[in-house]
Amino acid sequence: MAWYDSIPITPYKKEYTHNLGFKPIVIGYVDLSTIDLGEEGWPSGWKPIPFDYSVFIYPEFYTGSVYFYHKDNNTVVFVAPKNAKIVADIFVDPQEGAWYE
Amino acid sequence: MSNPILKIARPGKDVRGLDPKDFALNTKYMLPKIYMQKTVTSNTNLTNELGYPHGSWAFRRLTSSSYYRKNTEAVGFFDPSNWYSGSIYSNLFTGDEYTYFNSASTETGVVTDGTIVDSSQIKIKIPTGDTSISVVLFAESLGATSNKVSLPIRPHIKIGIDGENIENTNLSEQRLNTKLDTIKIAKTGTLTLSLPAETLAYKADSKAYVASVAHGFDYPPMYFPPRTVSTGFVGQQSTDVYVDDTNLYLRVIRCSYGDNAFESPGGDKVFSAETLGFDYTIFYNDITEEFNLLK
Repeated sequence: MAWYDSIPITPYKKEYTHNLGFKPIVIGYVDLSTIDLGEEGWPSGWKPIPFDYSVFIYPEFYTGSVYFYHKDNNTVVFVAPKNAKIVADIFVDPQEGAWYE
Repeated sequence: MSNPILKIARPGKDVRGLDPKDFALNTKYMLPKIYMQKTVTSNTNLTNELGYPHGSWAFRRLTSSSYYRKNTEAVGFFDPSNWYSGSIYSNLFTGDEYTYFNSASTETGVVTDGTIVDSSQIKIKIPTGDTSISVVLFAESLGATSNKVSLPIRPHIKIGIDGENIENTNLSEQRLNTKLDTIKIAKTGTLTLSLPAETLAYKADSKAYVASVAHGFDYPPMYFPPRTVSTGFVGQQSTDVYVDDTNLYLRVIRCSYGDNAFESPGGDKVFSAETLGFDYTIFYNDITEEFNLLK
């Protein structure tokens, strides 16, 4: 079995309603220990999101993702495996139309 | 006890009753504090001088050898594989481009690439084929904090949180501390790329389309959102976002069909016209600048 016929890790969604009325800049991090499936050598520490990853736990490959997206102008959705711990900064600056040149 | 709030409006705006997004500075809100920027050319473990997990960004410097995901495997035996040929693949990057680090490929499977920060170390790993990686380290804690961070003595403005003596407010929670740097928005906008309807014949060369916006600096600036390159071909199309010392780029590469698993020709690939785009933020901050403001 190779990575391309691996088993996707079930993604879970968590919505955060900021009610800013626009899509803000979002910076997020995940605690890697909270998405550890038990692979040998899995690192500890905090990693910026988004990212995708794959792990091999005999005899299967698993693939997962940690990311966020703007559901609408008032809601950010974080997507990660179950029990992932994410810390995010949500800015009061929109991604577009925030500034002058 | 209350602490002062420093408010500066954007040019042409009245600070009174202003919407939060229209301030140039408003210390009611946390201002991200950068304490270090560093570029490394080999995998490096730095001592975490703050002693607690904190935020980080990483930007890859791309070269012609940088890993670029080209997934050739077809979904099914009778489905055609992708065919990659043409001059674009020998000229994907010149060595002066930078992109936000995002290990977007499960093919590589390297979760340790980029930056990982714990309470004792900042682990930096350069993706295969890249020249270097530039990291940005923030003082804001992702967990427990310590008030024992000592900063060099120099004139500064420091603003804490309301109701707390500033001397008791740890560095992470300080709304403003001008001993450290911060991210500074230079411009925002929407970068769009219009792609034509077209047909690529069996095993035809790939086609590349590029849109760009001039940022006006003579260095590669940090940008947002965290879009990157080589996220892999979705179907027969790949999307790249990167920056150099002139522009921020949005590039799309379209490839043709090759053979299927039984070596039968895949036929023509028909693309529809479409417009891609994303909202960008370009910061004044130079990706390549290096400093350590704890010293």
